[in-house]
This record gives sequence, C-alpha cells and structure tokens, in this order.
Amino acid sequence: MLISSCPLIWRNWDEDEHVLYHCGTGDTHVLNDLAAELLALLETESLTARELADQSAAMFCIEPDEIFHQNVAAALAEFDELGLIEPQP
Amino acid sequence: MIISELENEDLIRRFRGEGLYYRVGPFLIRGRSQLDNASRGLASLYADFPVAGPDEITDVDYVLDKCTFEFNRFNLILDGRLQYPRIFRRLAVPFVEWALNLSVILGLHRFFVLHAGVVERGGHAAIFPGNAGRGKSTLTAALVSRGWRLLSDEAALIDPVDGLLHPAPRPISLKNESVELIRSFAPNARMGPSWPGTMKGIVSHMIPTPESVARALERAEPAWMIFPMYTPGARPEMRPLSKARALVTAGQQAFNYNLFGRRGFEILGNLIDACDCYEFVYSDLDGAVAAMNSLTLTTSAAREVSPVNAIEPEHFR
Repeated sequence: MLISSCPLIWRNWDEDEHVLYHCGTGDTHVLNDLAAELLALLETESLTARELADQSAAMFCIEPDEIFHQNVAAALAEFDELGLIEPQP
Repeated sequence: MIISELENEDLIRRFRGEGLYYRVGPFLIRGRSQLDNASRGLASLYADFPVAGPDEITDVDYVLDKCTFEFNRFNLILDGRLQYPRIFRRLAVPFVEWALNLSVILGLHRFFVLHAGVVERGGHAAIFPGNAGRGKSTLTAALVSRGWRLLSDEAALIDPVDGLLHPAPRPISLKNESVELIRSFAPNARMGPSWPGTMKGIVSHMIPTPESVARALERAEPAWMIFPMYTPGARPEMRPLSKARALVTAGQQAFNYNLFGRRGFEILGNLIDACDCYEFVYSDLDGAVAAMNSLTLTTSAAREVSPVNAIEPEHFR
C-alpha cells in the first residue's frame, strides 16, 4: 500500500478523533485512532496489509487477532475508496 | 453622517439617482431604487449606518427596478445581474436583505465565510454556525437585546490572515414564531415591520443596536464555537463537543471552504484551536441568555481576563 501522492494535512487535539484534509480531493475526514495510525504509518513507508496490522498492533500494545486484521482490512478498503491510498499489485 | 440624518427628499433623490452609498462594517453598499416606500423602509432599518461617498470601491450594488406593465412588481438586480425577477413590491425590503446575504456569502471571498451568527462580549466572540431552523438568529437577537454586541446574524467573516472576526452588523432577520418570541422577550428592541407571505413565511428584522453599528470596524477574537439546537421545551444544556467534530461540522457551514482549499482547512483549524466548542440545546430565551452569560465566566477566554471565576453553572454537564 502506498499513501496518496497528494499531501495529507492533519489536525490533532488531545482527543481520540483526528481530522485530515486530503489535498487531492479537497475532502475533510474525521478518523479514529486506528485509522489515523494506519495512515500515519503509510505516510512514512509503503507497507503490506499484514505489515500494517502488525505495526499498528504494536503501537497499541495489543496482539493482532483475526478481528483486528478484519478492522485493518476494512479501513484500507475505505481509504482506497476515498482516494487516500494507492494499493499496489 | 448617518442615514437617519438625511432629509427624506435627499434620501429619495439619492436612491432614485446615483445611489445611496452606505457602509456596513467592511462593506460599501450602493443601493438604487425607484420604489420610494422601499427606499424609506430600507433607510429605517439602516438608520444608524454611516453614509458613504461614491468615490470608493463598491462591494455590493443593488437596484430595485420597476417592471414594465406590472405596477405591483419589481426586478431586483444584484451586482449587475437580474437576481430576483418580478417580485411583489410590498416584499422589496426582505428581498433586498436576502440579496445582500447572497452577495456577502457568494461574492466576497476576501473573508473565509461561515453561515453563522456572531456576537461578542468583552472582546471575545461566540460563533453560532448552523442551517436555517437551528435557532441561530433567534439566539443572536436575544443576546444582542441583553447587551452582547452584534457582529452578524448570518455570516461569520473570518480574516484569512489573522483569524479575527469582522463585524457586518446588519438587521437580524427573524422568521415566523421567532418574530413574536423576540418581540415579547425584548419589547424595547427596535423592530422593523413584519412581512407576511414571503418564501420563508413571516419575516421581520431586528434593528442592530447603535453600539453594534458604531463599533462595526472593531474586530473580535473568536472564543466559542457553539452549535445551537433550538428544541421546544428543552432545558438549556451546553454539551462540550470535540474539536474534531466541531471542525467538520463547521466546515459544512463554510460557504467558500472549497474555494480556499488547503488554506481553508488551516483557517478553520486555527479557528477551532481558538474556541471552546459546544452543542447548545435551548428553548426559553431567559435560560439561553443565562447559559451564555455563564459561559463567559467559566471558559478559557474568560479565564484570561478574570482568573478568579470558577463557578460551575448547572447548564454544564
């Protein structure tokens, strides 16, 4: 997975929600902690879905079980739909 | 000179001729009209506003033009474009007000504009974004009648450079039940006539206080972003709102968010940074004003001024 080539602009407060502006579409999104973490990881490097799940689980200090993997997959599908990531073959 | 100081003959001559130029906060408006009753009606709503000369750049230009062969109708031309054709003459004043809203909202992009009421007290401004029907104009009018300064009942004009709020204190447009609600809540408030039969029902305008007009070039710091929810029968309740939610909800009320693009996101983010954010459920106006006054004593903007205030009013949960 690659992050969108258009810049992502963040606003974070001391809250469990984060706001993101996507320069490519002009859309503004509210993200929960997991979604924000996934995109933040992708901003630093290109990762597979499994690598993303493992790294984000480590950030949250949890074991990545099946439900967690499903949540990551669902988030990535939504990111793709919103144009926030560019899946690689 | 202010508009009320013009002799009737002079007023009509200007409206019928090169135009009456008047200033509303940062805007210079030029009005021309062949309908003398409408001219006098507009002049009474804007009685305290300064008359300007024709030698400056005009921001908004409207013309009330008679319809040929239709004595009881007129055309409203806004900024050179036929905006409202064949309107009944008796509704000229409310249509001019809507035209001015349109021009400010759609045409003046030197400000970042939110659909919101704005009032100020002690240098700190409360912004009430919301669609029609949420009670922002009613709440704005109630607060102004109790000493808050009016910046606008329709548009928060945010300076894109420093984030301060510019006033444009035009008459507050009240509709339907709100008209009687404010008449009984603030019997001393100056109200214009009621206009039944408009596309929004009965409309009447609360005339801004002379203080609000006199301070129309005095900008204010944003301090509170409050999303009003008029709910009949509800007790006033100020519910803290996350800044993330406030940003996204306010963004939906920004007329030129897409036009500003990334810069709009940054302006809005800075605005939210500066504000304590709430949803505000209210019904009776005494309770609403009390809750707003309490807010000025307890939140971060107030603490900058008066660190000793630490009361916790019952409206806060």
